[in-house]
Amino acid sequence: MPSLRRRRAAAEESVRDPDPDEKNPELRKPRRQRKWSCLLDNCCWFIGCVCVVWWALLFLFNMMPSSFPQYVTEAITGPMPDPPGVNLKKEWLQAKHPVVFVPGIVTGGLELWEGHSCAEDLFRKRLWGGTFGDVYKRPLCWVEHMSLDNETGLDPPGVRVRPVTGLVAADYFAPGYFVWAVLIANLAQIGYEEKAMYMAAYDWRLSFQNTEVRDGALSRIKSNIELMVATSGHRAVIIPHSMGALYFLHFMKWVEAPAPMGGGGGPDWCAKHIKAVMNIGGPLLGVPKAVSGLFSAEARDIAVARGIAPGVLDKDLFRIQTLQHVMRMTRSWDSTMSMIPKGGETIWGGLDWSPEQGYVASKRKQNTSQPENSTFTEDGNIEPKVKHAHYGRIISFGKDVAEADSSDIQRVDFRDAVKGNNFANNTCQDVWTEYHDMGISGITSVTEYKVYTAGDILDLLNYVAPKMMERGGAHFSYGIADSLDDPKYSDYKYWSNPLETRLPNAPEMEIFSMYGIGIPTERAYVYRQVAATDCYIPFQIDTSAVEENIDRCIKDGVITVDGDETVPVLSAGYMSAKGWRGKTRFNPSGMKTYIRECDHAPPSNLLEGRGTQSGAHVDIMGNFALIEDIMRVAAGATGEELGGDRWHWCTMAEATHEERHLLQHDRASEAGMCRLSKLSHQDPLLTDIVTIKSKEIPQQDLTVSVADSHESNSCDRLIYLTTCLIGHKVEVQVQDGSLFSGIFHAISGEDYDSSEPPSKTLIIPATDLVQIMAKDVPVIRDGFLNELQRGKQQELMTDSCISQSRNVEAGRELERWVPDEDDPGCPELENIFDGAWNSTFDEELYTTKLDRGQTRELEREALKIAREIEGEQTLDLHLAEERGIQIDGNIEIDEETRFSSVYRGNHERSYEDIVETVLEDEEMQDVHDRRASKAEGSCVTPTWGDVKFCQQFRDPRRVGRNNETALVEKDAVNQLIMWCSRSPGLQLRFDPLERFVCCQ
Amino acid sequence: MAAILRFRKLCFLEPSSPSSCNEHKKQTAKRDEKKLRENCDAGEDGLRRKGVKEWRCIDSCCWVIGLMCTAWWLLLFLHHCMPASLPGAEPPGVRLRRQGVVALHPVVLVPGIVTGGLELWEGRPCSDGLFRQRLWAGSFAEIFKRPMCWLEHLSLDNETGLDPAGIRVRASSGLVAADYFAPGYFVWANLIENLARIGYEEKNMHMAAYDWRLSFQNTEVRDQTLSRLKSKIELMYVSNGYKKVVVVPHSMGANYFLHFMKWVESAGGGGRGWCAKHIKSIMNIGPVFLGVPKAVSSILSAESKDVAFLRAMAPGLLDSEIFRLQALEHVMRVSRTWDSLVSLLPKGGEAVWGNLDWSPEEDHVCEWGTRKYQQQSKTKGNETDGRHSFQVQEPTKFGRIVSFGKTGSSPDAISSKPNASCGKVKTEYDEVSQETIQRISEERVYTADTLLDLLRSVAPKMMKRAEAHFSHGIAENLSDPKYSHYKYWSNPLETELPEAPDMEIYSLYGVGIPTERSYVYKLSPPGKCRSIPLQIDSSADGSHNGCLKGGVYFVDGDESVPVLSAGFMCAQGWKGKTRFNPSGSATYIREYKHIAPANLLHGRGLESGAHVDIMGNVALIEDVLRVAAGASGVELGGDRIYSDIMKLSEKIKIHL
Repeated sequence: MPSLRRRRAAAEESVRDPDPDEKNPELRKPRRQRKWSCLLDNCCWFIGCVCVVWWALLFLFNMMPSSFPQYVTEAITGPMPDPPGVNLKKEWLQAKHPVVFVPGIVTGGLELWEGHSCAEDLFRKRLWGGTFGDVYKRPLCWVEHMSLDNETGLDPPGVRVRPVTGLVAADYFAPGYFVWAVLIANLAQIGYEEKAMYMAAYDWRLSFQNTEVRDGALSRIKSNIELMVATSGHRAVIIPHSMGALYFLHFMKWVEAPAPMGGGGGPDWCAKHIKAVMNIGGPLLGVPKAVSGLFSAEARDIAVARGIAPGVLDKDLFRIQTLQHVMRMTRSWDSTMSMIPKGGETIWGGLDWSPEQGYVASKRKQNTSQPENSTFTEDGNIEPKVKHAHYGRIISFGKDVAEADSSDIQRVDFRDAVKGNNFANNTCQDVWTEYHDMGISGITSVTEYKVYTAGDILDLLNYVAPKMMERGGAHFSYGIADSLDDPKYSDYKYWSNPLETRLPNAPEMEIFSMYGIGIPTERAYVYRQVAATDCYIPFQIDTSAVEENIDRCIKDGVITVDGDETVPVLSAGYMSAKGWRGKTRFNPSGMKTYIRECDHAPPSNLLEGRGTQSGAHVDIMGNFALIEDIMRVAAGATGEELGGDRWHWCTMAEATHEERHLLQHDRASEAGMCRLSKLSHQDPLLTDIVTIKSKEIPQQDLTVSVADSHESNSCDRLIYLTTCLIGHKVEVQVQDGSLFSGIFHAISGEDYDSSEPPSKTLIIPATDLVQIMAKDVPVIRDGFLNELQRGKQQELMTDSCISQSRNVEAGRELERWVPDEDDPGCPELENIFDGAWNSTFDEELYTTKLDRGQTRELEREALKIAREIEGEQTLDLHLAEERGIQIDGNIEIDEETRFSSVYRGNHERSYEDIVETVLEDEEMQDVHDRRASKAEGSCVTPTWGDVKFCQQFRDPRRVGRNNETALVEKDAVNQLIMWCSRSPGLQLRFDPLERFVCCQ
Repeated sequence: MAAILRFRKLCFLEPSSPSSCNEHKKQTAKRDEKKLRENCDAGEDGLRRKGVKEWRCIDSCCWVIGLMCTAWWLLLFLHHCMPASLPGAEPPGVRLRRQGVVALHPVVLVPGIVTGGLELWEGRPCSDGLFRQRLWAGSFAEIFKRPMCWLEHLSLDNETGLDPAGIRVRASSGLVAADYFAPGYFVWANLIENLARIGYEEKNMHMAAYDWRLSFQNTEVRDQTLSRLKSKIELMYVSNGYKKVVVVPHSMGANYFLHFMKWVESAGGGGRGWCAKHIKSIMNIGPVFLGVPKAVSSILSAESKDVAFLRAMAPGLLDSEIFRLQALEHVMRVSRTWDSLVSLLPKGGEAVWGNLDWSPEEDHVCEWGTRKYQQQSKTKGNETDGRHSFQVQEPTKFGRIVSFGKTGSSPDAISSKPNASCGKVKTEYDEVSQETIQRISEERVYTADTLLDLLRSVAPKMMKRAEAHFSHGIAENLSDPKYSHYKYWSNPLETELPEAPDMEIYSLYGVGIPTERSYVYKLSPPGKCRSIPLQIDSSADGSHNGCLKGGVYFVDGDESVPVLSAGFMCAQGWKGKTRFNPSGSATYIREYKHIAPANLLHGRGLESGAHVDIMGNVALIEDVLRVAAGASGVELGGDRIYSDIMKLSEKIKIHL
């Protein structure tokens, strides 16, 4: 303390020295003295106080148990759902297939290995990812190091920036902003560690082939996958995110291509090493965002920022020229060009047509079942209120142009326009953009063309940025292949375009497309030309373009569709929905594809962070449903076991959500995305009888009969699904290519006796059936529920799915049924009840009268009784089945017992008998071993009398070391658990340390 | 400012100056007068007592802290504004780059024991929130926060030597695994940075991190570490234009890599000639080929000279029971589950490490400083003279690695076993009977041979477990089929080098620092909660050519590894074509004289020879860089020797 005081005194003295009048504080005027102490002492005092408090808080924070925030959150928002890792661990899911993460653009970290003098101390520090501290400290230096060489697309001389390796490369993008971390943590729960997880980090700025040329990144991935497959003995599960999906497409072609250009893995490398590719939000067909990024270095966010504070971004005050710098930097990155929309107008739509046509962003009340064709041809005539956005016009100059009819647009071709003189003076030489070379006439000619579709975009970019496109053109291609046999397609520039390359020959492999929906996603832009000043980008998104009609698709100059905020549904889903579905030319080996869509549900409050049900492009990586899917696949499940395609599998969304998606998808089916067709295509052995009132063959019914499936689930599923179609207009495609359309009448799983076909129906046998297409059919979500939850489903819904209110718009107007006038089978019913009628009908004869006031209690009573009944132990196999106890296929029951419906009383082998006998052998050995090892436990001796079963289960870590102890396979344990949890009166207890499961 | 003032008033009501009290009295309404008066009176009281003006103690505190904070921020700000590089010595990488030395061969770095990071993948509830955080290396913050939890997670299973149930701790991977041990304490970082200067990056540089707690073979069994290393080397070999790799192991990494080379050609499936095809040279930094005596003391009593010294300085601190510390006991319990520690025990027995009366270093003179080297370089020509003059003195008996000097404590004194009340920390000593310990101490002297018996009796479980993985003898006949077992692979005296005549083996190590060689032990004084009955007798000081100090005999070395262990194999065991080196791979010894950093600014020095600090030694870095860029050992200048390693080696008579 004395030392402290001395210091203070000294400091005080130094403060006071300059003013000799105040030597004696007592003589000072009080006011004056206060002022002095107030300025300095109080300041110091205040800072000290703050510091102390800060330290105290810091100390407390450090002392706080790390689970404290969770407690707080739970106290406020109620219990959080267990992360899937914890849940699945209880199901004894275990690490099986090695997992490879392929991060996307931007999310991977980059670190400096060699730099100019301004980055002297940044060696092996992150330039990208992490804190981004250097962006603020030395922005120009940072931009300089992040840019690549203009000519080569590789490092500029004297600078080496390299991707971070290992899981840390992309687990967190910035502190607290997870990318892969949540997934990694959950995988670790079921036993994954670094030897079975690999982050395929690469320099996302380079073109894909250049990552191999410069860093050997593709070779690394190949070697690592080979190593993990060799050490684990299982094929790898690949999880690319965002652009990683394209990168991995490139990799798959590269690895099988012969050595000089490719990896020399041989034609069956993928079949041998890859189990599944689970694309998360993969922009397989590109994203429109990339166009605006390349064209004017902005996206919606920037445009909005400019709209709010015009001038900030353009200010030359601090020589910021932010956008120009950003543009110069991003234009040197080849990878951005990999995401220019691919497939041209065929995919992305032309001037008047686009696959998403009819999509409505907001909740919509109108009847959705519009005749489709009319919207095609006579846009706006049928429903004059709704103006359909022209999504195909990816860039249009002016809002009026964006909405005008195509015939009204006067376009002047820009392609041959002479570029004007270089109007840039020397002052902006440091900010290189190619706009300087275009001159005013060039810019004007760009504006004159008015509208650019996906096809024109390439010409536009070629025109405004010839150097960049020349560089990128050597690495990427954006077309659709006419003939994939053309030898030119062996060049690597086609490898990352799914429309110009074949999937590898790997029929066992599965491709998943998992992406979020429900967020408005940029699809097209309204641009304007700004006054041509020096050094600036002459085009800007026109934020004033706002469409206020019911569509509200245009906002801030951006036209949005459904998607995950970055990638439109079309791009993420099309290949799996159509392009690769079944055996197509892009997928010659017919590997299975699955779509898993995730409906976006924003976090309900701040405490939930970025939410566990999010569908946003990056936040989806924390989505529990998605994580669970990945973990199940990694633990060995197939797409079929996951339940095939899922449309909104991650949230129990309310009806409006559903409605919207269904609508959108049915619209998309105009472009060929019909969901139902997929199911039938998967299993050609399904049995259906489709009865169709055909337009082509009027007054005739068509019946279709097909051979029976074996034991395929999808047969039931299909029949179930198709029942929803009854009464709807469908189109049926048959083997010879002809298309029937009519009203769907019936479906049957039985063999149809084709000897005497009815006259009025067309019966289509399943052997002929290719696909059934139906539009505007609400498919109830129950049909898509997880298989595990299916047990809970009480009823099979038949036609109820048509009428159930939540699946049809609530406000559907009921139409009066008007019979055909000349129908003799339909007599006039109008006045049938006219006159006086004395009804003897007494309602209470047939029904019990409900006392309205007591329904609650009655309900409860009924529930109780139901539970009692359900809770009864049953010895009947079938009853057990009805109560949801699933009989595992492993249990040996003779077929008669299993399938016969005869109840034979207790003396027969009941379900529990069977379980017992199965368990008995292992149990006895268990007991034996337990005694031998003197392990104590409350369930050492099983007594069959009071039903107590124990199972020792295998601890994965001990495999190979404790072989001598009797270990029971996972299946048996699962079975026990499942059985136990379903059996009333028995309690499940398991002890991970002793590795015992008991049911008593 | 006004806000601050008000805030201050709120907190303390008044700075309790009499003047301001008066002023306030005037200003404020009468209703407050009473309260205020109390306040002021209290303030005046305080003033009178302290005799200082208007400040309370707490105010001063705050004031001072505020001042410090402000100053600190100011300094921090200045620091950030400072140009990034202070003018200093040019790093060797830059210099070599200018001379045209550029990256050529891929480099593999193999870290040693302790320096590699370990992170948590699965743990008990107490380790909540530590997923993928570092348990070892890094900030070590967890030791202070939850020491018991930390210890529990770091130890391995006592029976299997693998993970305990429910805990998975794994080695970090990538260059970050061992670039810095703790913030600011570099291990490989300097070397990596200089390699980067001549063009290395991650595609041609790899850190072969492994879990250093496990026995070498178990790293493969559990983590497939050896397979990963093999695959990585093959990948780098191919993707860097078929250039062989340069391997740079440090400390125990040298043994690990020996093990790897045998593994890869047999169990690893690489086949004969794999090493010849893929490896250009192995540049062992401070290798522990023949083990270190330090390992003995740490197994025996969980201490080394530092701990012993500390105990001598502050007796009772380590043993205090106040905070239930029992630090040593915990350390011992944990470290005894680590198999790798056993790989560091002295190998080669008495033939190498000396017997009761003889040791290779016997005429070592412990006068530390430069003088010795001057003298030696002078007498290099006429060795006999120097030797003659040394022999006047009684030779120090380094061969007695553990000797019980003064068995001062009486039998009954030790018989008071630790009672159950503090039996929280169970070490294996609890299972060793008092008689055994008594007998051990009566045996008095242990050489490298009998030492193993001693350890077997005091640490039976550990030795049983670990001796399935490691062997410490000398092979009589290397063609004996038993030597194909993996437990011999990491002992250079029981295994042949792979057939790779073009491969070069370097031994790079520091000299000129006193290094532990043997210990004087005593029975610990009785303590209530002390369960380690043995401890280094730090009171033992003696002439012994000045080599005995604080119970420890010192020889020349790099502070951890004696010259003998680091240099013998390259000086003699593998030199030319011997039975340990049948294909005659070239060996080179490069010694680095330790020159302590002149002042604090130099940090850990650019010319250090200490076991870890040598990784920042400019000369060593230059050697590694040159070899990585393609130079051969001859081009480096062949052997560079300061110590008497050649003389020592000659004295070791083993069949070569």
